[in-house]
Amino acid sequence: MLWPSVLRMPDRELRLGELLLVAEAFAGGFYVAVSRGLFVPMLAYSGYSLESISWVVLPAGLGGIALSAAIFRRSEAVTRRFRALLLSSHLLERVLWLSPPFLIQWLAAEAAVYALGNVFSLLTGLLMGVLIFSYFPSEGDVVRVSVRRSAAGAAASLLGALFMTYLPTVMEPPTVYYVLYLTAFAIGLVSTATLLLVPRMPSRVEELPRATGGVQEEAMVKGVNAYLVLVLMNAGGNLVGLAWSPLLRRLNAPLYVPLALSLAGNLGSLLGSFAWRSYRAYLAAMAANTLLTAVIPFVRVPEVHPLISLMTSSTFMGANLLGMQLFAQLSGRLGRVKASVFSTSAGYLGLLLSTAFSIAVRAPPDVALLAAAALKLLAVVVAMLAIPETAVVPERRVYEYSRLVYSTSLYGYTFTVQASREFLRTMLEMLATVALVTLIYLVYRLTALLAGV
Amino acid sequence: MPELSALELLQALLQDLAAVIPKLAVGVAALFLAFLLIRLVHRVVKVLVDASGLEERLRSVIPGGTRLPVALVISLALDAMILVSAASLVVRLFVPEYTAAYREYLGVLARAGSVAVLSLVAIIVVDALAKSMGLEEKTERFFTMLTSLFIVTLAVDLAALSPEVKQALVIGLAVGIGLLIGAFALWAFFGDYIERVIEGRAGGGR
Repeated sequence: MLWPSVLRMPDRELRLGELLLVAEAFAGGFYVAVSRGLFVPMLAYSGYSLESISWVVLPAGLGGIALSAAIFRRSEAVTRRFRALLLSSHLLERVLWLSPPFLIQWLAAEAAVYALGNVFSLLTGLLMGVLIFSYFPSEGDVVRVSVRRSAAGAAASLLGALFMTYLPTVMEPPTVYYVLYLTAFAIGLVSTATLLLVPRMPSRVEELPRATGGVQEEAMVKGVNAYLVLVLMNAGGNLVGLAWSPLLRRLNAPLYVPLALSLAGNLGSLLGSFAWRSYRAYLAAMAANTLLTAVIPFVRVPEVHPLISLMTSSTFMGANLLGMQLFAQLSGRLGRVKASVFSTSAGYLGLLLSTAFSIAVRAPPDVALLAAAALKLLAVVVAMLAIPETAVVPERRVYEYSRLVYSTSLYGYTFTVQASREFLRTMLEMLATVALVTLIYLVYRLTALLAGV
Repeated sequence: MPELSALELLQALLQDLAAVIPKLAVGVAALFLAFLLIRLVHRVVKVLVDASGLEERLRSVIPGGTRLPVALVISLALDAMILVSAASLVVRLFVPEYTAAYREYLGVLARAGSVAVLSLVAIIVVDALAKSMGLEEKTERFFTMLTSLFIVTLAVDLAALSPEVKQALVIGLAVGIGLLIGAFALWAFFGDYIERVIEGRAGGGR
């Protein structure tokens, strides 16, 4: 099937494609919920300490960010053999995520599989984004499909979570892991099969000719600002996820409350996918989310927390939808690959930031939750001032603010990259010099020993 | 001397040969291994020097860099060491240990290695000096001469001459080098002055 994506497709095939993509998200959602959701508990119950778990998890975030940066720079690498790359990455991700229960005895292998699995799921997510951006002709279609996909994913994770909670009650630990992971793998394969059936999937993606200088930079400014909002929101959201269970343990909540929390969260994102319909609504949802996050540590009744979880995750969808819509709108000017990198890697960067924060600060849960609220507040402020669609200040001001935010974050990025590159280079040079001197000394010692000098 | 038949003679010869063969094999293997090691070391040194950025750093000290690439110099020095090791291993195989001959052979080997390494150092240092002084081509040739004299002096140490002759040669070379350096210093530091004086005389005569 060698159809360039620019050719218009018949409406019927487009509808079929949409249906299949939503089905893919449904099957994929189940597989993701089980394989990811079980990972850390499985390690913890198999005798891994908290420290070794963080060592297993840490390389994954770094690998994801590195891959995103690489693809952002050289987007031709993924557009040329798009179809083959998407399908193989989709399949490989599922195979990789089958292995954790079988490698549980070796920490290094577990970390490697986890990192690789995450890198491939990032790549898959990114390519799915590119596919959706290039498959559907209008921005409205893209948003509609994305909303349906995220709703289907949330519904499937709900099922996955139920399945994952039920099965351990009837089976013994080592077997139950194998059964759960194999089930997840089988259902993951179903999602790969649905993806295979999508009609006229482009075998390569033609990036539209780049817009010229000024327009391009405008798009970049907007993209970076939206990215910043998403990263801040995600960092806050992940921090909430990390701190909530310890808080509940402190409140002496019964065991079913944390479980109900994640179920309510899934339900909330399912509802949230359909609740917010305009830029104003997205902003309102984000503001409400911030407020709710700040309230969590002050609610002393454990039974209310699942309700808050429902509300926070449904309002959190506002941020996701804002990102989806902005990047769908920008994908033409920014390039589909770049837009997709932006919208996919924000979650990873947010995860990395929140993990780094919680490792570095070791704050008690209520402080961590307030910090999360502060991060989200920052995101809301940036959205209110620097993104034209959601801004509450006059347009002229928005332009100035957005430039300011853009140049500040770009400066920070450049500085970080430059500094770390310099540091790495000096390190490598030192290492090489030390190795050289060691080699000379070694040969000298050999000679001294043999020749008896 | 008892009469030996040709056959017995041949037999004795063959026995000797048979006794030597294992040693020979080990010796050849050692040399082969040394050459293999040299190739490997060359490659590793090249990679490490490239990675460490030694060349660029030297270039900032010595304008134009050293005449011989750093990687080559280091590799050659290491080659000398490895060859000396392999040769001493071979000597160990054939000459019984703790005899005078054994010690002498090892001494010669060690000296040969030292001469090779010191020659390299001499080339590098003199070259670096000439480069950093920013001299013209003619003066650089002087430095080349100086270097070769140094190397000859070092090589005399290896020759199997009688100690008296050796000493005489080395002293002669050393005096020669000293005079050369003196003459050069005189020209380098007082050249302008001398030139002026000579010119003044010539001008006075006119």
